[in-house]
Formats: sequence, C-alpha cells, structure tokens
Amino acid sequence: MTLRFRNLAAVGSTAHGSQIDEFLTTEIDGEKWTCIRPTRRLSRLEFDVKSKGFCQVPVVLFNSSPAACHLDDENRVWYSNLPEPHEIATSFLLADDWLSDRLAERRFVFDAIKTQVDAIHATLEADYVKTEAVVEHLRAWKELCTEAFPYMFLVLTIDDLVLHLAQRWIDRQCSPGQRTELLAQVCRSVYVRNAIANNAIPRLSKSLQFPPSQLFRSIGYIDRSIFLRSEALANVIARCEVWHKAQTILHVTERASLAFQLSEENFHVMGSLTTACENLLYRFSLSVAPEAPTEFANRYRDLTLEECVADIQSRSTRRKT
Amino acid sequence: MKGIGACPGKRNGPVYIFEASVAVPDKKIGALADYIIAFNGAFTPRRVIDARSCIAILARGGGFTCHAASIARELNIPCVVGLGRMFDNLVDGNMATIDGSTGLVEVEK
Repeated sequence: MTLRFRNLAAVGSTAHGSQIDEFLTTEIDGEKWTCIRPTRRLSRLEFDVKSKGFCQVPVVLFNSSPAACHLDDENRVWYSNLPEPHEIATSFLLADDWLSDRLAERRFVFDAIKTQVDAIHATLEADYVKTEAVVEHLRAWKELCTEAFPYMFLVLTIDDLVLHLAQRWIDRQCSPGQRTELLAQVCRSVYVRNAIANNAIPRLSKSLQFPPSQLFRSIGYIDRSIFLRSEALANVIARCEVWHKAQTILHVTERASLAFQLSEENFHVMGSLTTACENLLYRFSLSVAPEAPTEFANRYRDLTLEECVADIQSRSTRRKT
Repeated sequence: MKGIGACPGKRNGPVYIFEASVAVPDKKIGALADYIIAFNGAFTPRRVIDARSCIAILARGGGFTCHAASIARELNIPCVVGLGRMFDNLVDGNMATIDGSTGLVEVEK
C-alpha cells in the first residue's frame, strides 16, 4: 500500500487545536533538541518520574539508542534523538506486525497501571496509611511511567498526522460535512463514554496539583471495530469505484480511529495514576502538617522522587519516636 | 464564519459566552438549556459536561480530537471548535445558527 506523507508538515494546526509552530527546536554542538508542546511545564518531581521513560522511547519502539532529555530553567522538557513523527507514523500506518507487537506490550503496561491505581485507592481508603505503602506506591509510579511513556509517545506526535491523512482520503469521496459525520462516528472512545457515565473526567493539566483532584478510575478498552459500525464510512466505501481506493480509506480510517482511542487511553489512564499519586502525597502531608497540607505537599514538586521518599521516611521515623 | 466541525448537527439559538477565567456557578450552567454555549479560553472536558444541557457548543480554541470535543461527540451536542479570532464576532444574547458538520456559524446581528 502506498501512502504519501509529503505536505503533512504544512498542516497549519494540529487536530488538538495546538499550533505546530509551538514545537521549539534548537541545536547544541551539532545535536538537534526539540521541545514538544512548550506550554506544558513539568515540576522537578514529575520530570524525575517521567524522564527515564522519555529516554526509552527509541529503545522500546525501534530498538535503537536511547534519547536524551533535560528540563530547562522554565520547566520545559527538551529531547534529542527522539524518533521523527513521520518515522512513527509510517510504522503505525504500514507495519502491521510491528504495531501489533507494540499494542500488545502497551496493553500489558496499561493493565498494570490500572491495577496499581486500584492498589493506591485501597491504600487511601484505609484509616491509617502506612509509610511503607506510600513509598512503595511512589516508586511504582516512576517504574510504570518509565514503562508507559514509550507507548504513550506512540500516538502523542502522530494522531493528528494520521487523522489528517484519513481526512484527505475521505475528502476525495465526499463533502466536508459528510467527512465530519464519518470522523465523528469513528473517533469515539469507550474511555470517554465510561468517564461521562461515572463522572470521572481527568483534568486537562497533567501537572501535579495540590489539593489534589478527586480520585477516579479509568474504565475502558480499545475497541478496534468501532470504525466498522460507521454508517457514513459504509456509504463512502459503497461509492468507491476502485477497490484499491476503498481499501485505503478503510485502512486509514481504522488507524485514525485507533490513534484517537490510544490518545484518549493515554489521557484517562495516566490521569488516574497521576491523580492517585497526588492524593497519596496529599494524604501524607495531611498527617504530618494538618495545619497547611497544601503548602507542605507543594514542597514535593521541587524534589526528586528519592528525595521525596527520604523526606517521607525521615518524618515518619520522627513521628514514631 | 467557519471553524472546525467537531460534532454534526444544526442548531439555532441565543449565544452565551463563557469566559474561562471566570468561575460560573453550576446552577447557572445548568440553566442554559436553550443556549449555544461559546467557550472563550480553556475549553476543558469538565466544562462540557457541566454544560451538557445546552443545545450546541462553540469554542475559540480546540481541534477535532481535543478531549472536550470528544466529550461533546459522546454527548451528541453539535460542536464547532477552533474559531480563533472569528470568535470575537460573537455577542452574548445574539442569535446564531451553527452547523457542526461543516463548521459554519452564522451570527444574526
């Protein structure tokens, strides 16, 4: 199957609504560094929790050498040696075996995250939260972020490209209005439906916040047959006079639907983990500084995970003695 | 004016502009059942849920796959996002007609 990517870089804005020119690039000693979505700022703690995962992206996705990343003075994350979006998009669209393997690995990691979120909820539901449990959950947070980030990155930079490609193929067969109807039918997610039903919507900001948001569980799965239930797609396919064209439209629509669902899964599942860990830190802060837990918890934003753990352990020991 | 159609459906009604930076009581949002709600600024998924009784949604920002647009689709609320500077043509209380399929918005002056 031949799919062309040229001109994709000329898309004025992403389907998320953020401008592509928000991607910053610079060169240091001949090495290209990129800042993806520079408006997103990470605290020192979040960077420490996620940075190993950032570096693992090329290793996990393409078995190549690790990326490098650093946090600048304005708390923006810069990367070098990350796979190019077009490289990932090409694999996502055309390398079926590669994609199946990555999705199977991703499923394993995301299921582990859901289990971990349940474990944190169970800890928080208890009357007394043991320090050992807090420490264990915080370390698991970092491990899971390290494992999950490469699979999050799988769609982070390409969902808009894939959607745009699908739009271009669909546009050849129908009007813009019919195209919106079609994409509105295939860009659906079980996570979103369940989140609305359970009033469990993650907040938009991925940064740590204290006091924390309300705990929630993300309930859902990737439904790869959603696109097949689209009447609008069936009508478009029926109008195709050439089988090759119908086959391509089906293929890119399926991948656009998949990319959309993976992106929503990122948002809902990772949001539930971040919120759970925020609640964990806040609960501990409440126990040691009940008069000002928010200020106390905010201190942790400027520490690394192991510095947080050391602080929690030392305060817990002092409390016991 | 034209934005990005994010959820199909045609609706006509008065516009109510929500400023992202201003907190709006839940009761007030719930009482806007016959309005087209226009979000100026952060267009969060939570806000869409709060405004679920409205007849349609407009937004200055966002794109087809933004989380808030995906919630509008799930709730089957016609939605046009990404109006950008054209959003400034909207006036509180004025009637508008939106087409969530084509992204077209007509404002009656």
